Amino acid sequence: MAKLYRAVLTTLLVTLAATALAAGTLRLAITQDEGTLTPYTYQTGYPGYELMALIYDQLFLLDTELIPQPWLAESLEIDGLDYNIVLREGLRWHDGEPITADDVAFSIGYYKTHVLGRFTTNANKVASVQVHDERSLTITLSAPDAVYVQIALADLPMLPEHIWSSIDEPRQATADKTIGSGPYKLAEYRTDQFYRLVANTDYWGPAPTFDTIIAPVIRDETATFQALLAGEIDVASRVVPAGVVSTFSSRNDIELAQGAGFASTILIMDITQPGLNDVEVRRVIAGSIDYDQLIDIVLLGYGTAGVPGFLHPATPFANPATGEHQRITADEAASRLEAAGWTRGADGVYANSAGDRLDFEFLAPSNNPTRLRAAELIAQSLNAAGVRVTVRAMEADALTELAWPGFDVSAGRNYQIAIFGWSAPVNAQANLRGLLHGDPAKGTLNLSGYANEEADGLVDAAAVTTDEAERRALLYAAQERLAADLPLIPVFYQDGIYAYRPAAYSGWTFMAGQGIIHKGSFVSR
Amino acid sequence: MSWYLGRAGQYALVLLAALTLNFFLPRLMPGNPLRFLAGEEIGMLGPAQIAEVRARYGLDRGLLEQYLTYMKSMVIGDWGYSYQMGRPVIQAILERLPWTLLLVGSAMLVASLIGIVVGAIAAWNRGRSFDTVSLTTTVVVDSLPTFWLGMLMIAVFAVEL
Repeated sequence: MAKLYRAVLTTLLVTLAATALAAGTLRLAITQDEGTLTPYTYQTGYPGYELMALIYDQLFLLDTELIPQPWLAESLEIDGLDYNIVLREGLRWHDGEPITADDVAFSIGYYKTHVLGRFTTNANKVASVQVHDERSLTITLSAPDAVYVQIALADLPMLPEHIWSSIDEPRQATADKTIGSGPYKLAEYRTDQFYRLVANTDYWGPAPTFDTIIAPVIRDETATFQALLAGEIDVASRVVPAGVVSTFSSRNDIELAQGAGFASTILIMDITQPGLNDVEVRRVIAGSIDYDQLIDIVLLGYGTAGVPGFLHPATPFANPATGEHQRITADEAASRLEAAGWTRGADGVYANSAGDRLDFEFLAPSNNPTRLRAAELIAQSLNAAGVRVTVRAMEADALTELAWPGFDVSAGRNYQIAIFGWSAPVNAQANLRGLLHGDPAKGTLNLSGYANEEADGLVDAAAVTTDEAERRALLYAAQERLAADLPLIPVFYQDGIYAYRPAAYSGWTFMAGQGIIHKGSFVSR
Repeated sequence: MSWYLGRAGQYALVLLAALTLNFFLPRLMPGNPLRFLAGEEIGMLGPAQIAEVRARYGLDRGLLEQYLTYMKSMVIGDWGYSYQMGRPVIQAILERLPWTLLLVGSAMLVASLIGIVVGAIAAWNRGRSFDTVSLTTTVVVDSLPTFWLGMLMIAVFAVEL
């Protein structure tokens, strides 16, 4: 069957190989269909959002260090809750219509009324928008937000009002509606097959690097990298598996770009359950995991060990004081559990006087080999420490439904321990409030049932504090709270390793925590 | 006439059973459609916004009400939108229908031609070796699981040859 798939794929790739001979064409393999590449129809955060952002511009653009730089906006002046924005002169949509302050106001309003995970929450922080003239407007927030430029103004793609005002079902927007203002235009889209983007020759900003970008959908990992080795594609959006890194690095026609990945792999626990509600038990669990072994065996060295404060050490607000997990031996684990009132029974399982037993079911996703293998190794360490866990592999969607029923924290939890993870933005945006807050409306990622007033106060204050030093102190304190209470245990962060053919293009830059596919890599600087 | 009516009734029952299964199977399976409806970063939404999405797509209604709405929409030809495939269901079906018909039609034509000729020759030579061999071959091939035979033939004709 794989052979047949490859036969079909080869036909497509041979066609692409012919087109690549034309100068200025980049062939970029993506892993799945990304809809019509509008802000409402792309599918994945990476590379889907980034491809969409080649077509749609934001007011600001994050550089590789995640610092917002003016993009459609020429200037910004923050006055309390008011964000006074002036747009650049002479901006135009792909169809030639001018981009005005009304379009910006419309976009924010549209994201408010048409719910979408990534954009609606941040659009909802806007209390009102006042348009002064064609190019200037004032956005007024309902509460202070220190990172609004980074998480919203540099994230929300601007929509042309003259097109989107008549779209009521944005998730069904067709390709003829894919009209933005970005450096590339969508020229052709064949569902499940490929995208063809062409340079926007009238672009206001830095010139597009390529005349044409062809993005074929190659679902199979092996087929993707064989196509790269054979020169049928120039770059792949897929992370190079650790096992084949050495194959690629030994070739001189292929180069690798490597950097920290902010997507996390964490151990989550329902800390309202007997046994797991004892912080000493959670500390024994965190101390018994061999993080270095996990990185060596599961990631073959390409990763960073999880830190108890959650934030990746390379993120700007990571607290160096929370340090690394304190490793303990099996003997230390035993004495700490006994000191906390747990005694080892005849079957080797610890129990307390109330009859609670340290015997848990440990969920792992069967279709994610990295996490499944990590879960098995963690289980060995925990069993040796006297905390009995039984790994139960299940399909990732089924696991998510148990840990996070209906994607709604207020609906409770139906698991004990699971291996899970959050995408890169949680780290990049230091979203500790989402992870820790006890109120489901704020702690939308709090899958542990953690509720701590001090932690709530810290993350609430950090969300509205605009003074950088003060905000840093609050986020540091929140990480210390997290490291002490361990409602979740960060396990590791896998590095991003991407492969490309330098003969086709070598100007790739690595966006911190994410990868090489971002707007900055596709325009001349 | 009543034979035709009976047959039509049988087909209607099969169709009803298939549609019912089609409705309930995804709801019995693990997973949640919200990620298709509100995008990958659904974790940024609070309970109120999730409730809004559920209400917008009718997922907050009772299962029976959803089923009746689904059946009504099927009857009036509103087959809905596939968020996974990013296009209306009817369009996805129409894209594939010509090829399906071509494949089924040509297969039937070839099968009928071969069947009639081989059958006639076998009948002409009743009890002789051709009759025995053709009958045995037919029974064996007919007993093989289609999916397995199909994979073998793809491997032989599409890949190897």
